[in-house]
Amino acid sequence: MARSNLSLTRLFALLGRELTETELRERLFRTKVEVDAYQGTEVTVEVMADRLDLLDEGGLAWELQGARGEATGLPVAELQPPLPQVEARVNASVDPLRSELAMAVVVAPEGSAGLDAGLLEEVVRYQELLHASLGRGRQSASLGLYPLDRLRPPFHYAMEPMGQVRFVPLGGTGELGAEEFYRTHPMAAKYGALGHRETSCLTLRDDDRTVLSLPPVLNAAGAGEIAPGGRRVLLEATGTRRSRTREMVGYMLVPFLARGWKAHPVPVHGPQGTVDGTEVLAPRRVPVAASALTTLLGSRLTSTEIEHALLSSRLGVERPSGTLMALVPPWRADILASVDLAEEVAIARGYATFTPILPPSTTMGRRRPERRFEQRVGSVMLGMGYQELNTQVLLSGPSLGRFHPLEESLALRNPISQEYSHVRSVLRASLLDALARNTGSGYPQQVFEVGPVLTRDPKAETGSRTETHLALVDAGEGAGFARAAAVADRLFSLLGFEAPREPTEVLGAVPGRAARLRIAGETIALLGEVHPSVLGELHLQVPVCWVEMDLTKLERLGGLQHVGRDGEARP
Amino acid sequence: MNEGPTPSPGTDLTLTLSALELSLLQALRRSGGGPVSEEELVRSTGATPDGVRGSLERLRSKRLVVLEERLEEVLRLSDRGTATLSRGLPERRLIRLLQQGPRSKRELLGEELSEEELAAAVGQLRRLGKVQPGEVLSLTGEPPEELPEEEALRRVQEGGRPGDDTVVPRLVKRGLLIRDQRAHRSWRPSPEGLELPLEGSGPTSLGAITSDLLRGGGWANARFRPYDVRAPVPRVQGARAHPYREWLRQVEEVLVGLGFEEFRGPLVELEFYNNDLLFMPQEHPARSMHDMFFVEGAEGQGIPPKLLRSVAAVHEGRPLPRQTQPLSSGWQTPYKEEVARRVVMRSQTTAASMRYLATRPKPPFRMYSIDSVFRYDPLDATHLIQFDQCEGVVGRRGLNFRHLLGLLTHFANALGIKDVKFQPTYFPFTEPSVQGFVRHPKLGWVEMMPGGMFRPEVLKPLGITAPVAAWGIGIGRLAMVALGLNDIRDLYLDDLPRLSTSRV
Repeated sequence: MARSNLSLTRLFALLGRELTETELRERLFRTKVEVDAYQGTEVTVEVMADRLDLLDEGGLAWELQGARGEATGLPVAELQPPLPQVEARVNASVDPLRSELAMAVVVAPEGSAGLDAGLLEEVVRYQELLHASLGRGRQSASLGLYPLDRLRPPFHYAMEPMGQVRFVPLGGTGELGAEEFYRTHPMAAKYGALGHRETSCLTLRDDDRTVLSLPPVLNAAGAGEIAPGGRRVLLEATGTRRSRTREMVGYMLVPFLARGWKAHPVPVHGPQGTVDGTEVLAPRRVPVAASALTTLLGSRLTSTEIEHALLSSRLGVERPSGTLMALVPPWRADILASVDLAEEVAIARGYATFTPILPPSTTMGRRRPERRFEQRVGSVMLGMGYQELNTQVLLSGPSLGRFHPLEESLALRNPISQEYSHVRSVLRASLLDALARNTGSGYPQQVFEVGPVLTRDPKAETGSRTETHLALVDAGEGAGFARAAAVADRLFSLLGFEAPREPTEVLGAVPGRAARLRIAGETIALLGEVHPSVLGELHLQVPVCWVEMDLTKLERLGGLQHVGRDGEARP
Repeated sequence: MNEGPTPSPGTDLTLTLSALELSLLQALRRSGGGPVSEEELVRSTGATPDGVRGSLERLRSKRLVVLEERLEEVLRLSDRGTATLSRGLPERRLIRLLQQGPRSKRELLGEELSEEELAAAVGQLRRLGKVQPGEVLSLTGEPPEELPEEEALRRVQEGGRPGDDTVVPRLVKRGLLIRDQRAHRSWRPSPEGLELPLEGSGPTSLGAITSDLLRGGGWANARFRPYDVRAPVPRVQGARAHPYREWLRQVEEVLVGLGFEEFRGPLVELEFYNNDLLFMPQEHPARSMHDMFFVEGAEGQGIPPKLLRSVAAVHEGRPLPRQTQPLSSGWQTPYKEEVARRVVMRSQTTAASMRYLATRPKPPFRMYSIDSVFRYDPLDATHLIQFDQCEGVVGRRGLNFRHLLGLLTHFANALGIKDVKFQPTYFPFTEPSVQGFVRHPKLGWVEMMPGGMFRPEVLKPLGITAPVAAWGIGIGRLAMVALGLNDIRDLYLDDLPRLSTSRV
C-alpha cells in the first residue's frame, strides 16, 4: 500500500463541497483507500498498489463524485489534437540503454491563472509518489515536468558523450559538466545507474540544444523547472518499458485534468517508427463480458445496471454494434481485462450489497494421514509428561552448528539478523535454545516438539527437503542416555516398530553416549547425552539428554497404516 | 457431590495434627517454652527441612506456635576472596619473595605482584612491623605463620567467623569478604500450644491411608485425623499441549467439518510457485531482497516446461499455447526463467495453493493448509519474520464472489467471531479481491481475512476451468484475538512456567 498526505482544503474545493470525517471514512472504506489519520486540514490515506490515481486529490475527488452520483463516466472524454511542432525525436543512440520515452502536454483552461501554488505543490508531491511506487525509485521509470512556454520544440532524446553535455542541475547555481555531475551529485549516485554508460549519458534537449534534463536523474534549472503562472506543461516519462512510461504520464495527467486542464498528445519519432502520442491519452477499450461478470459476482445484474456501475467508477461505456465496451482512461492501468471490470462493478455497487451465501458442500474434509500420525506421536509425548513447544524454523548459526554441520544446512542470503540466519536441519537445536531461555524455571524440564526441519538435497526441486521430526529433550538431575533410550524404546513400541540401538557418534553429544535406531537400513532416530561443552555454551548447569526422530521416514516405512482416515474407526 | 458435615469450631484440634506436627509441638514444649531454631527442630525430628517448615507453618496457622525471626550478619568470600585465598594474599606473596633476600620495588613488580598489590602488601607488613621501608625492601624478624587476614579468610571459608573481628572491615574494603544478612527463624509454643492436651493423639489418630494400613486392617478401630481442608497444598506441574498449537488444531477441526482437505507445500519454495504462478510481476516490489528471504547457494529445477511456457505467456501478455487471444495485456515485460528458479523461504501459503492446483484437482474441491510463511519484517509486538497463514481454496462450477464472502463469514463465525465486514483490496492474483475485517473487543475492527477469486491468468495456465475462491488468513492474528494475546511473539512462547499455567 502507498501512503499519501492530502490537503482537505484542495480536495473539498475539487469536490465542490465539504465532507465530515465520518462521511469520508465511510465512503472510502468502500473503495481501495483507507483513512489513516485525519488532522485539521490534512488527511493521510493508504491506497492499494493498483489504484495510484487515488493518491492524488484529483483522482480521489473523481472517485468520490462517482460514488455519490454527482458525476459519472470518464472525467475527460474529448481527445485534443497535438500542438503545432510539439513532438519528440528519439536518437538511435538511446537503444543500448533500451530507454523508452512517452510525452504529453497539458494546457491550462482559457481565462485561468495557469499553474497556481496549490497545483504546483500537489504536482510535485504526486510526482514523487509515482517515482517511489510505479517508478520503483526511478529504477523502472521516471517523470519530468517542463515549462513548455519557455522551450522550443521539437525535443531531442539522445545518448551523448558526457564531454558535450553541460547544464545547471535543478536546485543548483553553477553549471556542471555531465561527467562531474555523475561523479559528484548525490542524485546521480542515487538514480544514475540507468542514465549513463561509461562516457555517455542520456539527455533531453529542446531544439535550441538547451538541456531539459539528464533522465532519469534530474532536471535542469530553468528549462526543467515549472513555476507558478505557467500555462503549458510538458510531461515526459523515460523508463525501461514503453508501457510503464505511458502509465507514468497517464497518472501524471490526473492533478491537471481534475482542475480543467486539457491534455494534448506529443508524437514521438524513433528508430522503430513514429507513434502519434494518442496511445498515451486515449482510453483503452475493454470488452465487458456481462454474462461472465454476473456469474462471477453471483448477482443477477442487468446490462443497464452494469453500465451504470461502470460509469460510477468513472469509466466510459460504449456499445458498438450492441456489445458493451468499457473505456478505460490512461490513469487506470489496473484494468487489464474483462475480469477486472467485475471488481469495478462490485465496488461501485458496494461489497456490502453482496449477501454472503455458502456454496453447496459435497466434499469430504480430512487431514493428511501424516498429520494424524504426527498428532498421535504428540499425544504419546504428552502422556509421558513432556511439554509441547512451538518454536521457529529460523535460528542462529551457532545454535544450529552445535548439533549439525552448517555446511549441510540451509542459510539465508539476506538474513534480517544473525539470530535468524539459518534454517534448522535438526529440531533439537530449537529445543535446546528454549531450555537456555528457561534456566530460572526450575528442573526437571521435559519438552518436545513435532515440527519441520529442512535439509540440503541438490537433487530436489528446491535444492532442499522439508521433513517432519519429533524431538524431545530432558533436562535435570538424572537426564542421561538411559532416560533418552527408555523414552525412545517406549515411543517405538507404542508406534508398533522395533529398532535396536546401535552406537554412533553425533555432533554435540558425549562420545560413546549416542545411539541410532534403524529400520530397514535407514536411520530413523538418534539419541544421546548433550556434551558438557555444549551445555556450557548454553549456560545450562544440568545434564540434558535428547531423542530426535524422523517422522517422515517412519511414515514412509509404514507408520501411516495405523492412523486410518478421519472419521473412521482405528485399530 | 455429598461433602458430609462441616467440622465445627469445637472439633478436637489435637486430632487435626499430623504425626510430624505433633512431634514438633512436643519438641517445643520440652524446651520449656523458649525459642528453638528451625535447624535444631530438623535435627531433633529427623524430618526434611521442607517437611519441618511446612508443618511449622501449619501449626502457626492453627495458632499453636509463634515464629521469631531475626536477621543476623553472615560473612562470605567474594569471588576475588576465593581466588586470593588460593593464590595467597599479596602480603604473603611479598613475604615469600623477601624471604629470598632484600629486593628493590622495581624487582618485585611482575607476575607475582601488581603495583597496586605491592603497595597494599607493603602497607600491611609495615603496620605489623615486618618490613623495612625504603626503595629496597627487606624483612625484619620472622614472618608470622598466619597473618590475621589469612586467618579470617580461612575461617570464613570453613563456615565460621574470624577470631579477630577488627580485620573484617579491611577485608570487606579490599573486596575479599562480603557481608550478607540471613534470616534466623526460631519457634516457640504459643500459650494455646502449651495448653493443648496431647494425650489421645498419636497412633490411634490416622493420617494418610497407606497400603500397610489397608492390608493390616488397623484402620477399622482408629480415628481418622481430620485435615485442614483450607490449608495450602503443593502446586501440580504437568505437561500440556502448546496453547497456540492446540487452538490451531481446533481451527483444523472447523475446516475439516466444512469439507476441506488438508494439503501441505514446502517451506522452501521456488519463486515460480511463490510468485510467478500467482501472476505477480517479476519486478513486483514484494519480490525484492527487502521483502523475502533468499536461500544461499540453492538453485531450483524441475519446473514443468509446459506450465512454465504458459506462465511466461500470461506474464508477457501473449496467448496461451493453442490460443489466439491473450487473457490480458499481462505485464508487458520479458519473463525470465532464472527469476522463476530462484529459491526463497515461502512468503505466502498461496504457494501451497499453486502446488495443489497444479495437481489438477477435479471440481468440486476444498483444500486448506495451515503452515508457516516468512517475511522480511522487523520484529515487534505485531510482526514476526515467521508466522502462520491459513490458506483455503474452494473450486466448483458456478462458484462466485458471494460464496467467497459466505465462506469467510462462516469460517469466522465457526471460530466464535460474529462481526465481519468486507472491503475491496488488491492482490495481483485475485479479482475481485477482498479484505475481511473482524471486530476485536479491545482493538475494534482488525483486518485479517484477505481473499479473492483467482484470476484467469492464474487458473488457465494450470488447466483449471472452474472458478476458484481463495484466502490466506493471518491465522496468528486471529489466534491473538481468540487467546487474548497482545504480543504475537507469545504464539511461540517457550516460557515453561507460563506454558504450564496458562489457561486451557
